[in-house]
Amino acid sequence: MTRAHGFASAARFRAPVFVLLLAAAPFFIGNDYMLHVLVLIALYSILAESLNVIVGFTGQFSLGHAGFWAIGAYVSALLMIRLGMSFWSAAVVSMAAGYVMGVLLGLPAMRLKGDYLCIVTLGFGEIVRIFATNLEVTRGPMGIPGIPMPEIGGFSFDSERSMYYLCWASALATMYVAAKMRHSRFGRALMSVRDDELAAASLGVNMTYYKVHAFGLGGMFAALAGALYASWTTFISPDVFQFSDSANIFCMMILGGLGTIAGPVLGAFLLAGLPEVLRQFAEFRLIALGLLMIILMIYRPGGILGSYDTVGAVKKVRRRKIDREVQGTNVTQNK
Amino acid sequence: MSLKINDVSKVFGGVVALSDVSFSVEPRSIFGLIGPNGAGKTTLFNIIAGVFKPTRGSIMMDGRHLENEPNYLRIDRSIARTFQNIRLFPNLTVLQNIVVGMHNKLRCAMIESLFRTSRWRAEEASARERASELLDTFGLGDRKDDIARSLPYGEQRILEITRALVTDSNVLLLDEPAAGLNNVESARLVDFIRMIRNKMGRTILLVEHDMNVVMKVCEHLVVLDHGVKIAEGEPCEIQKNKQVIEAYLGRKFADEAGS
Repeated sequence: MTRAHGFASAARFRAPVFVLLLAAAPFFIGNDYMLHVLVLIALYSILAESLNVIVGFTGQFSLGHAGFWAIGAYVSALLMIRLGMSFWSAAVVSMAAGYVMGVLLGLPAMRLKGDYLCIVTLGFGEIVRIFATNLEVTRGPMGIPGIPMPEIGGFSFDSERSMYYLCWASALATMYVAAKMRHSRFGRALMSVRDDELAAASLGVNMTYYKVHAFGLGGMFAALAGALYASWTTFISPDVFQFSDSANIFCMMILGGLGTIAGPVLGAFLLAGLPEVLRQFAEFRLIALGLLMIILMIYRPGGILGSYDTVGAVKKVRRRKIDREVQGTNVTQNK
Repeated sequence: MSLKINDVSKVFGGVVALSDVSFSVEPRSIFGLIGPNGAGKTTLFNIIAGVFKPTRGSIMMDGRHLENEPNYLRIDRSIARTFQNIRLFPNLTVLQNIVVGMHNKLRCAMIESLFRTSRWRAEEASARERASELLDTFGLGDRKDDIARSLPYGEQRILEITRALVTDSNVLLLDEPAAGLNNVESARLVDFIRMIRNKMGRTILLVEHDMNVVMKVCEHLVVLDHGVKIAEGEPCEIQKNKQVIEAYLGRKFADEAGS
């Protein structure tokens, strides 16, 4: 019965272990390829975690998350190349741009729900990509090469290992924000909007404000992932930010556990990491992953770490109802 | 602290759901809104709660017009509500449900929770303490870390009312609080409602179908039928009112009662 409590104390114990493992990993991993995969997982962790703020916390469906990713990457890359800004200031500006775009996308979300919202956000992701393909400043399909690496006081993040630390530090920061958010007035308001909009409004929660800002925050962290990605690969083009990436990020979040903190990161490990590790099995890995998704959704609809124990909840309610009838009380007497 | 409903009408397309209903709710009273099915009780209730705007007429609280304000501002006007089909936050814990009810009283921005400022810690601690105290008072103390959807129906109802109470609103709107409760639970509910008024000094306006509960707990009643107010008064008067009996049972019974 005290699930929520149990999860919180378990997380307190596991978080330092996870951080230590991540910090130590590069000393045991010799080849750059494995580190490369781990950086990719870090970036997808940021993306899935930031999408989790929108979908898992606030209950607003969004299938255009790659759009924010692209905005972050392009804004940061262009600021560095055209205006000669440092990575750090470019990243901050791109996060601000992600926030603003999130708020703008969140505005129609006030009026739309479920499937309709899916279509709008899906359209958003496509629009961003099409803009990047057709604008002069983004060099269209040729993309932007030669994006500078982050530098700090003469030290350049040009090795795989240094980017590994930078990206994981960002991913952990994102996780920290998401975890702390849940215990703030702001985060509780998001979750109340997710669970019941009308009840939330009756307690004074301004639904519009929270939906819009959830999109803003989600967009902001996705843009951070974009800025990191641009400097890490030094090359971006519209092909990178496809709809399939939005869908992939969405799957990571669902698979790991919607609305949990560790879930999206676990999902990133599985969906971004496993296909790389299982590369020798070529196309079979995709079939296996698809099957894994189906099986998980049937037996654990809340995701691997999900606390939405839907099946258990239904059973419990049914049992209580039977209890009441056995005690000779009539449940439907007034209706 | 007085709530006034002035000549409220509501038209849905061609259907007149309410026409020129007026009454005022005295502070610290337990006020009932009753009527047969389709009388317009729920429509009126939703207008008072800010879910619908009236087509004509006004809702006044302490001399202030409320009819054009969005529903989330009702708390600022000291009006809280519950729902006919219980609307908790099912995935949050019992305690979290109550703390969401304090939304308008908490002041810390999200950024303070990131840096765990002392102000944030103090605010969270006192919010938790107040919520726990209230849950203890209403017998839900040992359930506070349970997920809200796992509570039995009767306790969910109590939790929902507690959540409305923690907003410190003077007026509490209860939409069919006895719906789905058994005899034991509804007897508990009657005591609960009385206690809220007597010990906490709140004003209660309730819509209810269960006449046992209504006659036991309400001090003043307004009866609606087909969107029109047909009677107003104390429960014992209403029980004898010819028009009310006709609305509920038909003319034959009304004549018998009258003779």
